[in-house]
Amino acid sequence: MGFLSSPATKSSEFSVKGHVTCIGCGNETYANAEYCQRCQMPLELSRLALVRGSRPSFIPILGASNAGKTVYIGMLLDMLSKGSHGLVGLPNNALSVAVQQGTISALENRRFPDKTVCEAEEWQWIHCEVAVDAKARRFVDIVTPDLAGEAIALEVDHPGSYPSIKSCVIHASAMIILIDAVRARDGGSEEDLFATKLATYMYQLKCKSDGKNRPKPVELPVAVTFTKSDSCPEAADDPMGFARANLPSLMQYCRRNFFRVGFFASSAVGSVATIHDDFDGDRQIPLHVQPRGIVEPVQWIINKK
Amino acid sequence: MVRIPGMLRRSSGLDAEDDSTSSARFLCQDPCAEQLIRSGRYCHILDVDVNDWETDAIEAAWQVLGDRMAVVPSGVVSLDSVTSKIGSLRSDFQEHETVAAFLIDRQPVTNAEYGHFVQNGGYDQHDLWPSEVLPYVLQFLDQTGCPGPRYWNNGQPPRDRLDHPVVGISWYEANAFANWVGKRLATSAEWQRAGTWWREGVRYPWGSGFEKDRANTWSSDGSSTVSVHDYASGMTPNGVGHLIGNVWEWVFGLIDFCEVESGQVLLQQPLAEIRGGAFDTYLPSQATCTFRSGARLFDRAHNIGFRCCVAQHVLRSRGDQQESDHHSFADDHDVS
Repeated sequence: MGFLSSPATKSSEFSVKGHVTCIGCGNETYANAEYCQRCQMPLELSRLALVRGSRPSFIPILGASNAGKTVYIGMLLDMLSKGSHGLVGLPNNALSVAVQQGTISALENRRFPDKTVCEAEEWQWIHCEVAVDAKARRFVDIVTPDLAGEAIALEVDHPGSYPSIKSCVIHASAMIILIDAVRARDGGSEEDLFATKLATYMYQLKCKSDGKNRPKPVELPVAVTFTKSDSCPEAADDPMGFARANLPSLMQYCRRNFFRVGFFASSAVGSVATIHDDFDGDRQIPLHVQPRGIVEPVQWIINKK
Repeated sequence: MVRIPGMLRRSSGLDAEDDSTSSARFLCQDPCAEQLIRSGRYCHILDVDVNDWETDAIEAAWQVLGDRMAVVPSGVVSLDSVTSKIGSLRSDFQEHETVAAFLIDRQPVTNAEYGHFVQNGGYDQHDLWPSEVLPYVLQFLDQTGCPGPRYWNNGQPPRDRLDHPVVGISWYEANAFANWVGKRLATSAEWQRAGTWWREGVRYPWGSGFEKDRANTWSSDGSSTVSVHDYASGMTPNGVGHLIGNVWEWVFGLIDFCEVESGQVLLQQPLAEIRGGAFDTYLPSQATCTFRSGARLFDRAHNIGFRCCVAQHVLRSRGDQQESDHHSFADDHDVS
């Protein structure tokens, strides 16, 4: 199945007598509810499926704690809303705009956004409808909760702990894995092992959902994206070479299990100052906003249809 | 004759690109002066402490200086946010600084101009570099391992970008170049004054509001540097261009510590101040004459360049070069 060719659905599939069926977990909820009671996915996505007659194409954005997911997502939404790399996207709900606004506002005031909390009900679900071919009404939906890295780690270790993460991955048409480039370079093998674990989790869920008896490589495009590359020129200059040198396990795993893997380097800021005081400890201050490599993974995914 | 380091080295091979120096060639009979002028080092001829140059050399140097530099009148500058010495990240913080009249380059230093420095052995002249930096100068190499900006090859600027601002140079390289041409980097207050002297409270060289067609930034689809001759509508009234966008510009100021809610704290790594935003600066609010940012002193980034300035009082007066008690430079030049 191609990336943009989500299966056509009948209108009735998601609508039963005043109820709407969550496209994430299949749970039936009152049609006027905002979120699925089981997996917390916004029901707006299910309603959109009704209107379009097809499932939204999910691109979840996952990564470890402090990988820079919120900044990446916020910048991506802002850049797409202005139009970048031939792509134009519109945040489709107030929460998405809130993440966009929160990120830009924080960076403009020289701070990074607050850390995302672990409670699933507090997560902000992002939905950005990206027009690939507006005339042909072809869209890609970037759908992802702005997840706490700790929750992702827990879900990877104990699948089912956070149903929304599982739903997201099962329905994913592509995946963006964010990895802190500086930690990958300086922090030993921890980043490599976590990213490998995440890839394993994704692969197994996709295999199960695709009904494959014997595991085979999956079609799902995976964009491995190094964040904070402004502080790691090695990653910025040659993302694949950097991955080869610093994430050998992930490289091996991806080569064996995913047909299409791309490597990217991104950064949202041009310069960061680190200050230390006894009260707050070490603190990073973004001095100016200078996005690099933010939209490219999405563009690559779309072109890999 | 005045002895200036590196003056009699080989020809740079970049002279053909310098239109403004070619007219001076016919006025100046002294080959040494001509060589200085052609390599952009005319301020050495105008040095108030040196009286060895002939009238025609001085006149030719003045002519080139008038083409290349603009006068910025003295005045008070309100600096906000990150400051050079007593830094602050609070937006409500402001300090006021008085600057004397000075001259500033009309454009950022181009690849062609920097090429003169490289080809005249600027990286080998120890007197241009602070002694503590000398060991690192050996690492200021281009992509082929030759001394020069990071993105050059074989010590040569890219032929299709001779009139683009030079990038890939550290703060130390910018200072060494300025020293070589007889100028210096502008202070933070001077740089801001250059863009805002003409009307109180303006944030841009053209007024108070951001206009994407006047500067090469992310908003104007800037994907790389452009010629310093582009975006002419973004100039100040006295013809200083590209203060906003295209490349950040190193200024002569270090950010050592900053002020936060809990008091002043040290930065873990000192930063040099940069100004003006670049082609990839995303937020219009960060590409203004008042916004201040920083970069590590050894950073050789793809979007940081510089321009030079010179204080008015270090230049001899025009047409009166033999007098030791020269009168004010501003008396000779209409700054409006």
